Amino acid sequence: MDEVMVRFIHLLRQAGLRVSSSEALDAMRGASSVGLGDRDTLKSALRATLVKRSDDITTFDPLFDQFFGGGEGQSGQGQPGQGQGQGNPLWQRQMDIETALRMALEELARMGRRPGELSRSVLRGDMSAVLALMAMLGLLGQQNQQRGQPGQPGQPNGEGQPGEGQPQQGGRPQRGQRGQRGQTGQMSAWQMLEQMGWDRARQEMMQMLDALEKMGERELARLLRQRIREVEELFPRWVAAEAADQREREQEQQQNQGATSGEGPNTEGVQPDGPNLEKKDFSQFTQDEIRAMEAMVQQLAKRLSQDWSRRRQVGGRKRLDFSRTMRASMATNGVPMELWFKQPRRNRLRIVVLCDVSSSVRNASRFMLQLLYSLQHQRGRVRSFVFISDLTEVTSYFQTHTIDEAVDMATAKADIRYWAHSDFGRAFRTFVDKYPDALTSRTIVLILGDGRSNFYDPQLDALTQVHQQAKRVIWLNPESRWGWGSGDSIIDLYSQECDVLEECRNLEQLAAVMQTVND
Amino acid sequence: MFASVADVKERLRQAKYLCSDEMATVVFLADRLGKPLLVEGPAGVGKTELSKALAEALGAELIRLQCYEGLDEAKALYEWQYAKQMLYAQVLRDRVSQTLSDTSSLREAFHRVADEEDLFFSERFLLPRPLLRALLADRQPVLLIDEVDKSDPEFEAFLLEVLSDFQVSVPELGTVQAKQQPWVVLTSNQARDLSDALKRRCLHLFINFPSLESEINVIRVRVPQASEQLAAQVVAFVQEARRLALKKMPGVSETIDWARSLALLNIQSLGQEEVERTLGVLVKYEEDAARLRSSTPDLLRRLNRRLGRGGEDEERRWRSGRD
Repeated sequence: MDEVMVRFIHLLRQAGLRVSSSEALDAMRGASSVGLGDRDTLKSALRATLVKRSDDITTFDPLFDQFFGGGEGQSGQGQPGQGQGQGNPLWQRQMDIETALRMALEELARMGRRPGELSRSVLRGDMSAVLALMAMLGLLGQQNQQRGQPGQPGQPNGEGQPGEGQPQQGGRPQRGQRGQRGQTGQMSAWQMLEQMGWDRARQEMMQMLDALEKMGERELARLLRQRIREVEELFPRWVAAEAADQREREQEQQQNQGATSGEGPNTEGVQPDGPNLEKKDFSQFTQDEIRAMEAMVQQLAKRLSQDWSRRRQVGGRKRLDFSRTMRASMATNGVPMELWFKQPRRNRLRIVVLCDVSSSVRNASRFMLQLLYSLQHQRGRVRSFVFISDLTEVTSYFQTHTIDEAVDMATAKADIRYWAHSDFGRAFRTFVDKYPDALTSRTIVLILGDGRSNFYDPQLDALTQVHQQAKRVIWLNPESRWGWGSGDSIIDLYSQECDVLEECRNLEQLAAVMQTVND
Repeated sequence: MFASVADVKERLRQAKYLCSDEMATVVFLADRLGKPLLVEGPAGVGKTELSKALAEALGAELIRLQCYEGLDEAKALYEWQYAKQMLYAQVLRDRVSQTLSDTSSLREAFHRVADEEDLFFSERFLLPRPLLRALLADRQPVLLIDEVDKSDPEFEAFLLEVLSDFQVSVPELGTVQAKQQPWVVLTSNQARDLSDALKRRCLHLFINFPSLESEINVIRVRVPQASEQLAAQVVAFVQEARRLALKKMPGVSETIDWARSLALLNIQSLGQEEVERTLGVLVKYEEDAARLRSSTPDLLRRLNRRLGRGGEDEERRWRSGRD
């Protein structure tokens, strides 16, 4: 049973859940105390031990249903298409294959033969091992213009690969046309397959099958044959798709000039059957990048909010609260045994975020809203506003909804004429006039926008007023620094009223901003 | 100790707390694994209530620590009772000088006092606050740390230490180890994200608003004086009201309060007038009240249709529509 659990946890991690080893241990202990008998109980048990963020439940549930079979229990929410068709739940089948494989290998070992790495990993469906093998052979960085059909031999309904549905750069063929393109993809994949020793692996697989049949394990042999057939059909395609993916990621990275710091391309490109793909609205980001960004944005938010409290502890002397000390001394015959100090004012940081959501920064605005969202969850006292030319408060959306909903609602907010041209001057003016209570001397104002105001009146005095009333004004600009000041960009004008003005178009720059914010 | 998931359910039921299978499973696990239970969910779904019921079911003492901004270790853990120490010192003054009377030098007197200083920094003068009380309890208590999300991150880090080892150090006394590892429940309204480290140490339970049936059952158990019809109407009304965009959605606790007040007023069946008269129990904002008042006729019509047909199909269709 532990093996089942390890596999399942591995799957969750691949899907992007952070599962620590202590949580994994809890899950195992939990599973053994409730037993594997009742699906729903097991599900609750694993969910309680493994899923610690309510956002992750949407990832966990379909994976669980698929792995442990059916969604037809009382939970009632089984989505059609999950775990369909198979007589056995996935893990049962997987365990049978493992057994078949083990027996076949033992038998072959007795005959003095030892099948290679490739055949074993492929049959087991262990794609990370295959990737490691490919990386070792130097096959992943190869120039290979063909792209093939994504598909994963390990899992029969292998649709939904990472990167699918992503907008393509100009001139590139669209991916995901089944059949048609598969042919050319396979052609070039064969060369890679050759280098990996695919022919030998196929022979080895047949030997394993023979061995099993000779042993009289007919049921297992049947399973293995079925698996081999699947693998023979899907693996070449998978290789082609993987190579294409890999190359694409590299190119994208070059284009973004190292957009992700430290977060290399996902070498474990194999995603379990894509429950994450629904979340993939952020057009420019891959799922991994969003995760990485979430973490960084959270750090940024933490740093922003701790900035003040640290300073409060370091500086400032305690001041005696005389009356309270006197009152306390009554109990001790007028001897002031207990000293009372004035409570230092709790300089809780307040953050106000103004976020441009106009079409010129459409792609970036999702990213910005993500930042808003994280800020809000970090600290209660974040007020968020979005604007194009009208400005409106969206704080409540972020308080009561999940990230995806909140972002959708904020961008679709009715008060905002979405197709208007951005008018920063008017937005600042509205902000100052309508929400005077939002600004205090302890407020940090974060402005997220490109400063392209379509030649409207910049109304600098409104921003000046914001600057005077707030503690700090920090402007994050998603536009490349080279474009600042050109055309209708009045960022240079506004910059005199900002304490910090930084380009912020990717994670690396966000991390850099974190440094400046903290000084 | 609970014997099984069913046992959890049954014993909580006896404590007048109805829980779903999932909740029972998680509670059972927390009990078995000896892990703190982190309960999250909207306000008023019975997070705090769960720990009260747990304490009752386990026959344990409930020790509650309410978190708020600015709560620090001293308030959560222990305080020295200076006044009492002072008083003792005053009363014992004669005895002290007597003890010191035969000393020949200041040094000797000092050492003699120093030998006795333990007397003044003993548990006698220690005022245990909830956390320390939970550690010192002779029988396993239920420790409720309510609304952790309201506390500061620093306090959360401190909690981490307490919750992982169940020991704290009091500088003057040394380390205090829990006599019995307390049964810990933490609740959070998700005002802010808790640290991963804290979450990792806990089992996670998310409670949402219950379904129509289970909420009716809750009302039947908690407000037995309300008639069956009234209970069904009240719950259906509240569930419909939750679909309006209210500032503060009425929780299960509000449903209970409302049912209780209606029963107290001897109301058998819900109508426009009854709703308007008692609206204040259900919603807490003037805007919400206005909103609800204007949509009451509509809500009443809808709920009567629903309860009139009353079939399970209807219920299921409605619920799937909501999801």
